[in-house]
Amino acid sequence: MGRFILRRLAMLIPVLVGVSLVAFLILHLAPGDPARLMAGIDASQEDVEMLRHKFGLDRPLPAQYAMFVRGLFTGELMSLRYESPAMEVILPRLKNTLVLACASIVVAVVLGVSAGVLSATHRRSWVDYAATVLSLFGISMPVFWWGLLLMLLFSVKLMWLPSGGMGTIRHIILPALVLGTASTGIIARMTRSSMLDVLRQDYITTATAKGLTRQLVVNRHALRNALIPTVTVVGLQFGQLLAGAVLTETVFTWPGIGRLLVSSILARDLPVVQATLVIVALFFVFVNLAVDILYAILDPRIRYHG
Amino acid sequence: MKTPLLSVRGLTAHFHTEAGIVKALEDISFSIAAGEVLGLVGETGCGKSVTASCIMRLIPMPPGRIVSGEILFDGRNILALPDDEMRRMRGHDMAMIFQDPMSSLNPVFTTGYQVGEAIVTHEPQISRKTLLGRVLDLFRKVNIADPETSVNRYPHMMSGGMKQRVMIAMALSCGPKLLIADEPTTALDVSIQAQILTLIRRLRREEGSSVLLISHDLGVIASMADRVAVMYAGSIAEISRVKDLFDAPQHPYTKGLLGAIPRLDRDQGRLAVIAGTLPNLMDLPRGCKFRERCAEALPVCAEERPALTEIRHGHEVACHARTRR
Amino acid sequence: MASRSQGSLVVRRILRNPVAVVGLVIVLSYLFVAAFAPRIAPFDPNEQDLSKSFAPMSAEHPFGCDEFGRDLLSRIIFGARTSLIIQIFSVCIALVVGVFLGALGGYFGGWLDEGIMRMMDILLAFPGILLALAIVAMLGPDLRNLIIAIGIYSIPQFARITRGSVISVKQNDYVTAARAVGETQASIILRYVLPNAISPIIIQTTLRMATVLLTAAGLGFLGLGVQPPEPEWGTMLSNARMYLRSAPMVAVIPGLSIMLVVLGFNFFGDGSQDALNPRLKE
Ligand SMILES: Nc1ncnc2c1ncn2[C@@H]1O[C@H](COP(=O)(O)OP(=O)(O)O)[C@@H](O)[C@H]1O
Ligand SMILES: [Mg+2]
Repeated sequence: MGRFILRRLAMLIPVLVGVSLVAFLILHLAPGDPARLMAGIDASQEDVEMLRHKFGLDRPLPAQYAMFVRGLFTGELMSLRYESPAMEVILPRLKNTLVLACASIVVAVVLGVSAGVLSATHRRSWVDYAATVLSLFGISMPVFWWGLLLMLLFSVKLMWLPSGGMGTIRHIILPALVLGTASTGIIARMTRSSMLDVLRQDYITTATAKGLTRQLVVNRHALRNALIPTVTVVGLQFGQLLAGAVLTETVFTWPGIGRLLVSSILARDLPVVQATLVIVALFFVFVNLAVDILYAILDPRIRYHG
Repeated sequence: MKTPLLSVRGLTAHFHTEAGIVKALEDISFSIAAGEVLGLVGETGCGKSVTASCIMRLIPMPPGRIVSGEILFDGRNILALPDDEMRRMRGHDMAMIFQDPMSSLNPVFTTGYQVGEAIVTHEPQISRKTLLGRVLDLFRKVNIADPETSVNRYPHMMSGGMKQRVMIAMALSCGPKLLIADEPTTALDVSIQAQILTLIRRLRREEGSSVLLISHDLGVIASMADRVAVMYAGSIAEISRVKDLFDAPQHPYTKGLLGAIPRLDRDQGRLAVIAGTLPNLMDLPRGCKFRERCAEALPVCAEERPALTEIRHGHEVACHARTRR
Repeated sequence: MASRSQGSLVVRRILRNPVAVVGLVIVLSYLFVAAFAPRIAPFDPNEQDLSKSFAPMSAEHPFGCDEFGRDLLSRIIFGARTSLIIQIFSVCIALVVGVFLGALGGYFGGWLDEGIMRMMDILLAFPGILLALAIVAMLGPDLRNLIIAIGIYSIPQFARITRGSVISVKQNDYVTAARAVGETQASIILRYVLPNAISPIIIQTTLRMATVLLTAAGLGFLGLGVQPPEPEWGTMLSNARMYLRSAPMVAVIPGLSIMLVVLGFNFFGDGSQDALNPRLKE
């Protein structure tokens, strides 16, 4: 198991280097002078030159890259807006986003897995069709619109829940629900198809032939196997949630990295934009690693051969 | 004569598929006495496994449907039992060994757990210690090497032969009155096949259960069974004691199976190749299903399905050429 | 011949699946509206008439008017056209580049494959809308850059799918045979390998059309998409947010349009997947 984890970690290195490189190069994608871009159109030439020097933009690209990566760790990469290290700006907001994303993934897993299992065990019944259509609706829902609709209903019309901000448990209900909607649909579809696959297996017949109740056959023998591929999807969905937070947080004014990213883009606070990209990618990559490990724990075949 | 343990009467089962209705079983009747081994032979696709699944009530419905007939087990019609009562009989009164041990065990549970589960299901109050002892005994009984380690192994860590032993241990765990073995050796290497058959033979002597042994290998049937039923395209062609069948086969299909001339270059027990093909189960002919491949067909064979008829004591055959003399 | 009857079987299966049919109808209507927008739309989508600001629904303006008194229905109709342009061009970019890279890696394997796949891993490490958001933020928000950004972020999906099918197809006998008679690698890939890898690519294209539309609208909502006054559903929704309490329909209708079209593609893609995957049917 230790070797397995080490190997996965080693495979991450090129990806991590690549991620930081992409985040770094994105600055140079912009047409024209990056220093001018950061300083703004109306900045004086002096300010531009100062920025250029401060961010090492007058140095060759490899040196700039080294400086960028070092700056991420040492805090030398400074936010232009907040006059503090980019990481310090990001981390508290990252926590807020993680709270939201975790709430959403719990909603999505609970609803999605139940719907998927019900669909598969009641195949071609109205339950299955309803779950399928609802899942596809969930996947197709534009997050920002769905958020506005729920806000109109629950905050404006019924006045049951706050329309934005953060603080009490009531603040998180709507954003978590909205953010988790698409993931719920995807997890439901995935669980359904892997469950149908598993229910066809010979070992399910064996379990039934032993005299187990249908519930035990489904919940113990089938679900345990069907969840193995679902775990991967849940990992991927967690990444999608971090990205989806950009929209959800904008709708519900949730103070997370999604909103930070958008406002930093609009304010041309590029160091924060770059650092946020690296952080989210890093997080996503490690969640996927965790999922791989969980996968190995759930599936004994991988634990011993992988 | 005492009532048989299992008596199948007029069993007819269909599958409703996208392409049409598959008439998998048509008016199947046979019985098995207590302690008896009945062999069931026939080509692949003739309905042997469906017959076994009907007895265990494991037919997936839909697409499957039992159209008519009854299955008496200990004198009770199990087709009429409520689901939960039937469930309690599975694994307890009747148990099944499947063809492919590779896919018949759940990959995410240890073999010991899976065998233990069969016991716990029917004896929920059993203690953990007793349970482990029972499982270890079973593993020893089916000659699994190093039972203490093996109970903690996952199926993928075992060979096919070992997995089939685990399946047999699971089937025997509650001392069933009827053991159904559906081609228990087909998926195994030839050298392992003999070991498994020897094991089944020994266990049935020790346990005294009745066995429904399904095979497409007449050699296996000859060495294991007391009586044999020959199936063709969802119907029973002939039933008799093993010796009678091999000495004096009656149905032209059985004769074909046994092969008119023994040949040295062919494994004797294997089914001989008969010219022609199986009829389509979705579009069966009106008369005898074997007529197109039959050398002895009479005009009536095109008109009327032959019924299983006793022509001698304990020897039944479904053939116009034998019964219309 | 065999493949044609196979094809018609698939079509018949799709047409028997109610979800797929509903999807197909939605998608076809959308294509029709987008194609004939100037003929269908009752008004010029950019024509302002402040006297009609937030005019309610009426026979003349079935969806009412927006804050500048522009006819909402006409803007929705022209918005379909904008969406379709974004979808087609960005998916084409992703399709061409992704299929090329995937086929290359899958067919030749080795370090080339390894390199391409690591590159795709890097792109995929930026989940969802993020990569497109960053690219468009740097390039500057307009239609062309939006298409480029969304195109780039869809490349890995096509590369992976193509690679997977190419690897499974290239082991087939006819590919070995073509290689034995000395056909060039390029012609083998184009003539034998890709055509046989086509059905998962088609499904991916359909489903991707849905994702791409959602992403474009999302960027529009953040103010980083197509810029006003160009009619684009996400941007329209974003502008209408300010008047959510007084004129909710101006925000609700563009969102509804996005959802309907995305739903159409997803219904159709999901249904076809079922039809193309016989393993899921008895
Ligand atoms: N679930 C099912 N759906 C449709 N047809 C089935 C199903 N199970 C079995 N059949 C059909 O029933 C017939 C008998 O099958 P089976 O009993 O498995 O044959 P065998 O004698 O080889 O065990 C076959 O023609 C098979 O196609
Ligand atoms: Mg069989």
